[in-house]
Amino acid sequence: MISLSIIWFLLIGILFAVYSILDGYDFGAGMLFFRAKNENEKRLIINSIAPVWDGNEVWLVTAGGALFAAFPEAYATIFSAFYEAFVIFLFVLILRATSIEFRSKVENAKWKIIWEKSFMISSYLAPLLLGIAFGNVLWGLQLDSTHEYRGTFIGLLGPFPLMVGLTTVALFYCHGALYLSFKTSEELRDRILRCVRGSSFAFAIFFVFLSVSVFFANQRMLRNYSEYSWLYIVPVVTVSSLAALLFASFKGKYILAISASSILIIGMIALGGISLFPEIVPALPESSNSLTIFFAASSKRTLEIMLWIAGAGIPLVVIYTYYVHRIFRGVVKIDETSY
Amino acid sequence: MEILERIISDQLLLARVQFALTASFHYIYPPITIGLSLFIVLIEGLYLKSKDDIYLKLSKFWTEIFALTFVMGVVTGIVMEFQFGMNWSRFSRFAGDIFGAPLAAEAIFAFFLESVFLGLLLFGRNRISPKMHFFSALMVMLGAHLSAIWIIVANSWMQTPKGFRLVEHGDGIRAEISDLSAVILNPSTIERLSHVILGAWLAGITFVISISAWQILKKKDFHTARLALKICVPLFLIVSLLQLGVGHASAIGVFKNQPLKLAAFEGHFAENAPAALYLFGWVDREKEIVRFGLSIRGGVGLLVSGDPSLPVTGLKSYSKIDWPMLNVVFQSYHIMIALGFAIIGLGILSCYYLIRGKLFETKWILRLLMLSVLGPQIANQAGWIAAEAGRQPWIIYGIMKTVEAFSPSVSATSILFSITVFTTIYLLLFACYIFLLAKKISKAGTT
Repeated sequence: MISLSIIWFLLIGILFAVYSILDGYDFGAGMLFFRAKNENEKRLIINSIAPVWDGNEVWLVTAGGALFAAFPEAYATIFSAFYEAFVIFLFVLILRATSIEFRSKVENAKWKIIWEKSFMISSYLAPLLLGIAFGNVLWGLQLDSTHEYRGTFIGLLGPFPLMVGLTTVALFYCHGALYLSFKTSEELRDRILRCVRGSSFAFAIFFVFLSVSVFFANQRMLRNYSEYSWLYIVPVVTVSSLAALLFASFKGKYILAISASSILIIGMIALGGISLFPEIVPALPESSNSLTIFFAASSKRTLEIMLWIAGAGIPLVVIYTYYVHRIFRGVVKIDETSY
Repeated sequence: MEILERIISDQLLLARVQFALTASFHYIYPPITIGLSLFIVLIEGLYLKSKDDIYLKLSKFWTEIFALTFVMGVVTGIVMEFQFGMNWSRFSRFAGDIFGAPLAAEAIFAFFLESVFLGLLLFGRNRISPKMHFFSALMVMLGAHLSAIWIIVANSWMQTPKGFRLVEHGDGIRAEISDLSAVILNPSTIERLSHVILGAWLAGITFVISISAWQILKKKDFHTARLALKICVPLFLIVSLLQLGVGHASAIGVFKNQPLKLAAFEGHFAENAPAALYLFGWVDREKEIVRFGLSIRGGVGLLVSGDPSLPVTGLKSYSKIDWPMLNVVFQSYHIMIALGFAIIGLGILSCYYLIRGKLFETKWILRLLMLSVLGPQIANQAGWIAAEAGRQPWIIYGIMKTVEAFSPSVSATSILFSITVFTTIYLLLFACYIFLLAKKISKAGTT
């Protein structure tokens, strides 16, 4: 039972990491939309994600569903605590998806500009809000003894969560630019690649800020390192992948760079997971109201069933997702099916 | 004013309004895509076999419309998954052990399949072989249908919960799974699933029929539209007849498993007596009678067992506070049934004209067919209202009341905020959807 809870804590982390790597690049592509100067370049960016964004977003639905199934208490606490924030997040996701779908359907400059703007703005807001939510869970939420949130919406906008939000935006921006380096060519590609350095430096600065604030203001997040010293490998790998990212993009080795940014995303989520364990939603100010993964988990039977579901389904998903990404690999070619 | 104040401060009522709003708006689209996915597989298959370009043209046209409809279903569907936790945190804590797994399974087995292969279906035509393209259509169809299975499993468990035990957890209790197959195949799963799938097929088929009829009315020699009608009109009749049988089985299921709900469907008050089958009427909750009604004496018993004198459990067997909103349930149930018969009638009529070779020349029937999409759409919505409102005051029938289920930490103001946001964006989206659909259809008319 204890080990099943830990396995599912890990698996939920993996689901969110895969989601962040995949939807991260298409959020990033959306953020970089302003780099396109003419209709052709705009179409290149939109069509670089048009065939895949939807499949990418299903990882979020899966991670959310798995959280519900494996840790119903955590799902209930988190989703009701972030009520207003999630209303805005859903609003933004809706706008983003429909912008991609609607923009090309009418040959009218005003129509297109409206959906381009909403596509771009929502591509910034969605990861910002996700980051803020993640930051709040890491820092701890004001929970009562029934594990219900007792704070306010404004209370969610503390400095640490906001900084996690900005960090997420910077990281996805950089990750998306690297993705687009494989999907675009010539001038547009150069213009996009010029954004890599700035965003990776911005990320590095945010990262330092986060580390410092954890070190001085929230020691709880570091307790696992003193108990399990082998965990130090996670921050080491994360920082090294940041260094590799800076180095590779400076040298123009973009396969290495996007691998580094992907590992960096995994690293960030792993750091978050380590800071939480064995809690899944830490409570403020009464730490006794926290939800531990053992209390929040479903029954042993359900966790086993979920393992079967994931074991049967996810490998298949990975195979055909890989296959479809391969079909659309390389620089975008515009044809009559394109948006 | 006082009533208004009471409404806007009533968390439970607002949470229910919010769910009803987002769920019914969502449910405009998935039935269309489920039915349409079947039609696309059919014409992609015919194209693969005959290599006739007319099928290719038809497939291209309908795949694009599918994509437009699909994205509406996706964006409104994510809201559904989020709001179980957002609005119904106590339900999620109580039932998550059972209810969460089908939702996760839906994402893993259904949504991925549908979304990833839709990318290939839409953008892959020049990159993959026709066979692979057909396979993509098949996977999209499979994904669409699998998603219906898992969500109906979850919903049917709320209607007829089985395969669980109540266990102490923290300061309260929760439902934990004890028998997986009893949860999946709970007493109402099979009949409700087939009822929903057939309803979705009808929604998709009439969607094609409506648009094609409109195209023919605009431009007589529209040969892709004629082909679409030739395929869909017979299907329309067959599926609507199947739905009659399955709907009947579904009603017998409600009779067996949810007697209180059946009593509300039929406006049957007397405690344990033969029940009249009303064709229409108005339920008077205070006087406990049905007014202005036309009924067949003993009709309920006749339908469920062939015996008009069969005693049927009535509303009076239950305490009055446990009655659902009687007229909402009664009227939506009867609207669904009336539309079901109207659909069969239209199916017979249009098939007759099709066989006689006069369908494309008969304007009045084309006009009726043009409106046919409304039939299954309204019937589907009405059916769900009857099913869900008829389950009240329970959120899980006989186990948990809706009043115990909403999120205590979410204020009425917050729910009002979310209702406002979603209503605004949904109206905007719906306008765009109809506008783009009309544009797409009429553009095809000129080429």
